[in-house]
Amino acid sequence: MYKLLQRQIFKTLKITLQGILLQSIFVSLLIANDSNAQRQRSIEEIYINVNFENATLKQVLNEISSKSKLNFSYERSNIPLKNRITAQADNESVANILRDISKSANVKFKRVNGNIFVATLKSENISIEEEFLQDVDVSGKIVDETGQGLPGASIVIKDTSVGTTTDLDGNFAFSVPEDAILVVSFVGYKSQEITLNGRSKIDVALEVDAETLSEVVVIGYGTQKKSDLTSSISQVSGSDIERSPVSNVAMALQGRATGVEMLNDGTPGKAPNIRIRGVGTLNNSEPLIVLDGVMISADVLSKISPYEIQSVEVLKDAASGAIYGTRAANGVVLITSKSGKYNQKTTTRFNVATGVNQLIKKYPVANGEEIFMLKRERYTMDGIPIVYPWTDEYFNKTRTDWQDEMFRTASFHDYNLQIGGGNDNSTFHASVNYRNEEGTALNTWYKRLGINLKSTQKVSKRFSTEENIRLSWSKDRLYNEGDGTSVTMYPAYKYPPSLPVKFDASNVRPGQEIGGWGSGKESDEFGDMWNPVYKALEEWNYTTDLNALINLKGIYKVNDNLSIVGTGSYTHSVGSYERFKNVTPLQSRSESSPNLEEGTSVNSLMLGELYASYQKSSNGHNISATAGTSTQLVRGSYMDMTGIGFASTLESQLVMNNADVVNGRAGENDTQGLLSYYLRGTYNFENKYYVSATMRADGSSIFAEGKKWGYFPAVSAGWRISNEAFMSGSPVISNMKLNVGYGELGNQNVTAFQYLNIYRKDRRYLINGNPVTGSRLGSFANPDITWETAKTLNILLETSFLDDKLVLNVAYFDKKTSGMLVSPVRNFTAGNETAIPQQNSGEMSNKGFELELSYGNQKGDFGYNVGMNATFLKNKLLALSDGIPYLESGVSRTYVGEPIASFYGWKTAGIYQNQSEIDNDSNISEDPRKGSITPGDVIFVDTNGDKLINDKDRVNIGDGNPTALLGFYADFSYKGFNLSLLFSGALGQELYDEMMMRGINAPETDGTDKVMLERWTGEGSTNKWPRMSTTEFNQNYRYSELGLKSGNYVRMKDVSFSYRLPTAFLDKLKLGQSKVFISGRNLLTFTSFDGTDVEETGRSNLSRGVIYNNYPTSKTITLGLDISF
Amino acid sequence: MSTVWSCSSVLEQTPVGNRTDEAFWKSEADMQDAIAGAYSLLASRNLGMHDLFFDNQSDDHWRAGDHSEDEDIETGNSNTDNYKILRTYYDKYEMIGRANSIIINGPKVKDLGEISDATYNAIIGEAYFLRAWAYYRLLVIHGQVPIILEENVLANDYNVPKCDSPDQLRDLIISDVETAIPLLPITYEQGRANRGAAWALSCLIHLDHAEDYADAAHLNKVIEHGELVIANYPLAEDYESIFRLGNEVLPEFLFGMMNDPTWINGRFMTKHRGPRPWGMYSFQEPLTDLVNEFEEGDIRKGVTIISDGEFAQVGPDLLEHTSTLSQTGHSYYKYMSWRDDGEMISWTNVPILRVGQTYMNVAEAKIRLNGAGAGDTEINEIRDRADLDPISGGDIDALMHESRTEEAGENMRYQNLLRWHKAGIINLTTFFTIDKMYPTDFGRKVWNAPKNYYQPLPQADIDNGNGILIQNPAWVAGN
Repeated sequence: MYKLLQRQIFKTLKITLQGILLQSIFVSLLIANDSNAQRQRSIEEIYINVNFENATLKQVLNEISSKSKLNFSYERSNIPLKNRITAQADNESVANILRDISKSANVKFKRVNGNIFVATLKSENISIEEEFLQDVDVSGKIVDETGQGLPGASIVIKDTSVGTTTDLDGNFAFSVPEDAILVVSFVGYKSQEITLNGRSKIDVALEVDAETLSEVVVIGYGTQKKSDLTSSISQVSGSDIERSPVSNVAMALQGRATGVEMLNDGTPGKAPNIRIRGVGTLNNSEPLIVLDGVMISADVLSKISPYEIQSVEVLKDAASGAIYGTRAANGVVLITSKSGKYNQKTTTRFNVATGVNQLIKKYPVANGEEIFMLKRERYTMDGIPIVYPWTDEYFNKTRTDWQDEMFRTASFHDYNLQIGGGNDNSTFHASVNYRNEEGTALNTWYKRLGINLKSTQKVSKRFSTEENIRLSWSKDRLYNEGDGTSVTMYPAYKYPPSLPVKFDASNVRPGQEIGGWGSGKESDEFGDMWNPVYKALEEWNYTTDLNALINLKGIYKVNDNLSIVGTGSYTHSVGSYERFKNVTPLQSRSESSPNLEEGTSVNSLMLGELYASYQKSSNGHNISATAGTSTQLVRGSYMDMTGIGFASTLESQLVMNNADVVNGRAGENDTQGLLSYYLRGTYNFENKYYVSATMRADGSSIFAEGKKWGYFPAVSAGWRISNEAFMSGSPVISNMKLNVGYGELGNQNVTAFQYLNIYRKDRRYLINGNPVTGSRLGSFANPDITWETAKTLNILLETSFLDDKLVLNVAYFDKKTSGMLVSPVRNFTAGNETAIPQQNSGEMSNKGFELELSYGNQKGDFGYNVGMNATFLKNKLLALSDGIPYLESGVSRTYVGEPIASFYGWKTAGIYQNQSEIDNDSNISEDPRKGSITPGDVIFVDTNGDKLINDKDRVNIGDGNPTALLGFYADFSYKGFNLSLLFSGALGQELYDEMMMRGINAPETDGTDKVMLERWTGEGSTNKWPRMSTTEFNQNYRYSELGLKSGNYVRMKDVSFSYRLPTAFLDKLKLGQSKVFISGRNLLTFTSFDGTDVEETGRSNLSRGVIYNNYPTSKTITLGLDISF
Repeated sequence: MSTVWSCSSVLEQTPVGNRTDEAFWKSEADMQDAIAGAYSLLASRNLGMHDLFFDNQSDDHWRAGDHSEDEDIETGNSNTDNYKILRTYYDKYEMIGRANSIIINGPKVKDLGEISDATYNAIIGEAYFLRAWAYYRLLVIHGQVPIILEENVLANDYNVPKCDSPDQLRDLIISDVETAIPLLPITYEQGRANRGAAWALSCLIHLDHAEDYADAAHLNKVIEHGELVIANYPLAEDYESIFRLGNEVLPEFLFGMMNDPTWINGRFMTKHRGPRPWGMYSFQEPLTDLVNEFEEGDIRKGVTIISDGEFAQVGPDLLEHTSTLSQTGHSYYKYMSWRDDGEMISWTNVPILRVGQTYMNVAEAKIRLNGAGAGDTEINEIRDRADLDPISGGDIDALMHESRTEEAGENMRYQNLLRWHKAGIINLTTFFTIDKMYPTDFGRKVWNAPKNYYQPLPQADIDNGNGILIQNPAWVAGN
């Protein structure tokens, strides 16, 4: 916002300067010549009368101009305009008159078409030149980087003062010689030279000139010139974000912001989990998200359209984050939404985009015949008789491809309308966005409506106000995924293909109905699975969210150096859900009764801030300081109801009142209060030496007396080496700056009141025929609990080369989280329900490098900007807690000395091919299971040498943490065309394909994956996948290297191609800058991973990299139109 | 803004809706809440369903269903990380913890004078009873476990070694039961343990303690407490009524898992077995060997088991049990009933301790102490209700026969078999013939003494114990 504001001021200034000052002071006549009549006649042949005595040169030239219809151009300061001369001629040629003047005024003339350029005569003899060029009419439009027309931009023929300026919409038209080179310029933007090459239509998009404009970065309670930063902040502009055809702003950051990782799945409308510079804690590791100064939740984040964004700043280190103290340990994401501009003509921008989502690829499962064969083989391998249902040929057939039934090409529509403008004293910006998105999974969808109003007023010379009201509504329909296997997504992959979607006369099963849903109920060999199409169509899970955010701000400028800002904001969000599960008597295990669940939660956040900012520069000393206080209260309440038993299950009859029995619960969340004081000071000397210090004190209600207050200091310093004498004037290096910062941040994102014994009244039982609610000890107490502290060292070297065309930034960070809150070991002798309070006992380290490299240039009409970023990460758990050896979640184990969520399992060494291999395997010579192991079983490795395979042989077999995150981008523009590419990727991550491992577990009912076709069938058949069997003595499917796959990938995240519509065409339609675009997301992936999707690595920190049946990610193609008027 | 909300009001928040130590244990209502909280664990999936899967080790039924961890338990091949072992284990400790909390804090309420002596005594008695019952189930499944008592709670010390021997655990259970007996009322509200429940539990624990065939001390205690049960609580006239809706009014129903149609999670026991196409979960199918145990004319057969060719009244319809419904040709029918509209009644209460079982305990104790015929009275009362002719001179074999049919499907069979094995009546090492297992388990099912007396301790707690809690050596892989 500030950046734009500043630019707007420049623009306004420029218009004024251009229109009045520049033209009258520096250039006498910068107007289009219309002297067509005279332009092809030589001045030797144009005869006029003049009669001046002792007149100024200017008077004479004006007279000649008016009579000859030729224009004079001159630099006022160079020409002795006030010299008195005499010029008297009667029907004399202009040429001769000028020759006379030349002598008396010591000037020379060069006539080109309708213009006569005047210059001082030096040693030349030639006082008059004349040249005729073929003139062509040129018109076009000059726009800024956002596509807005730039009023007052100048277009000048190179090496002349001939040119014109654009009108209020950025349009221009004039005649120029056919070989002219046009120079387009505007204050704050890089000038461009345009060669006509026969064109008459020229549209130019100017790029911001970082040097002249001094890009501004939002830093929390203020802004700072980017060049003054001494900390690591990634900035992503709104125009970049707009290039991603995604439903929310967070998704567009992937690959663009260095050090930022997104964990996501394909659920429509869902915001990804954000990890900044790795996983810093075992607890909530989501960054603090601040929208226009107000803390918001990830829920609200998912409601923000990419089109609403001015910029996103990611504060990655302690020096930048310390101003947010106890909530900044996971980084801070600052989002600035678009605002209106002072003195801006009201502009309306309308985007419409529509597109399709599709599965990236299908998951390989065996077909009906293959499964029938595999299932039967289990028995023959074991030497026992085959039992029903695998004796029934009915099941030896493929009737359904469940993925084809469950996944579809889904469409979406996205509309954004923005109106903004302003006069001298106020601005406004209003936006409305609506998105309607189908999910790729059958019958799922997401809808969102957002309205945002922002305005600013200059109430008086010193006092101004800002107001923002943001409303958003969203609703989605997803699957009613219950506990255990009562789910929809899993059978979408693994439901028996021998079953039809619906039974017909040709395939109906005993006990089932014609027209009824296909069902595997007759045998538990078909698993605890429901027909997923039935689940998708007959049951539902709606979630509706309504969010309101009101933010008021007052700014009082005490003087030019000091201003005081007060803000008050209120956020209110209401979330509700409605879920329905029907009775399923003909499906698998049935629910007893139809079951309707409804609930509402209400949350509010009140925030008050008061801070003062001081800024002063003199004699090369630049100081600034910010000091303030903040108070925040978070409240919430909830209400949940379950209705059981409905006489009618028509959707219209499913209301709580119709339930046989209604159970309800409701309550209030604990109120959380935060009181803070903060102080930041920065100083720099001659833009060469920088130092910055921040201190925040946070008091939190969630900890005990004496543990409430925490203090978070940070210091950083910068040195612009390129401004030193020994570097200045370097032809190659245009900027070099070294920044070092260190500080402490906090994380208090844990359960409140863990310092108290808490009794909860939430357990029901039936006593004397009446349901009663019993109480229990809900949590034990830890009176010493307090927040986590993250100490971060950050070193950043910024360099630019070749006039800033090439930029290279390298950062090193070392973040150590100490006092990390760890849930101590639970001895189950203390039960499993009473919460055990966390202890500040853990330590975790995240170290890494960030690398950013970009190169951009403009060659005529062709402009390009290419870049890459890479983040190298190393996570290591340094301590947990006394007595806690590890934290475990399935195959993932988090333990000291290793990265978080390492895969902990058995090493494998192929398949036993024959009995003698088993008999002679020294790994298992003492193993009591030895007699039960058979050829075709997996060879597990006895890593501890005790001659048997047990839990002690589990070792770290890999982990799902990427060692490198990659991003590549390339933007190419040529005339109205723009092609933009964005790749993201990860290296060094391993994935544990739990989905596949379940699918090859032969004794289990869901052993149906395609990979089982490559199983062991006899000696020498394969050394990779085990045999079919009904037993699992050897636990072939235990956590082992069998499930391990490389998760390296590079994905073309976004590709976008746009075409700016020609101005002439738009003018006819009375439209401003407009473009059409087509873009794609996830269209190309380079990976060896063959499971569901390489990016579906789960959202949980403690089981990172385990592939399961999430909502699959999709690929997207979007067509859009972007119109301004 | 900080002037609007003063420091103290912002930072001094208190928990909303939940109470702290300062506010709890103040009134009779608090104690009633706390004891209801302790009972509520019975209606959990872990204690209401998973705990019943340990009888898969017996010869009454096979596991059926599609859970491999059930197969491991059934065939004597449990892994130490079998999740049913862990979940049933920790929910019992949860119950023990809630009981301990009442035993520790109840006196505070009494000291405040906020509760009558009668109510106080009954609740304290229930707490001791529930603690005893939870430890009894731990004993039956694991043999030796850590003992957590008041002092552990007060010292916040839960990482303790397992008890030295099963006897130490038995002694604790007996002590708790003895404490509970005088405190509990003879008749009490439905759903709460009464004195009869404590007596019945006492019979079970003493019987379990009597490892010698004629251990007079413990068997006499079984007879003493069992006869008090018999004297105070009549048998239900109709065997079937014990297992259908409304059973909570029967004096025979001493202690059980109370169910309620308004609970979603309290329905497992009544739903987890029975044919899948009839709306149940198809675990645990009776073996023909059990069906053959029933004498001709035994009305208990039809109450307990439905076999191929037999019909169930499901609402308005008669449904035939057909051969595709179960692998054995039989399904359990206990606890199963339907409403008139055909909806399954999955909220039947499940008796855990009932008078009929106590008759069997008393008869066994008498026969073991005094020889054949000593238990005829108790056996014949039970047979009479089953519409069977009386026997005379009934020996231990007759008792075992009667007990198997009377208690079929009630999660008692394996503990009975194990007890009889220890007392030298049967030999489980050779007991499991092919008739007494599901055919495909043949060659897989193992039973070795003493390893298969008990299930292993959950690996998670061994790991969490960091060396303090030691696995039963028989279950350490490699032994």
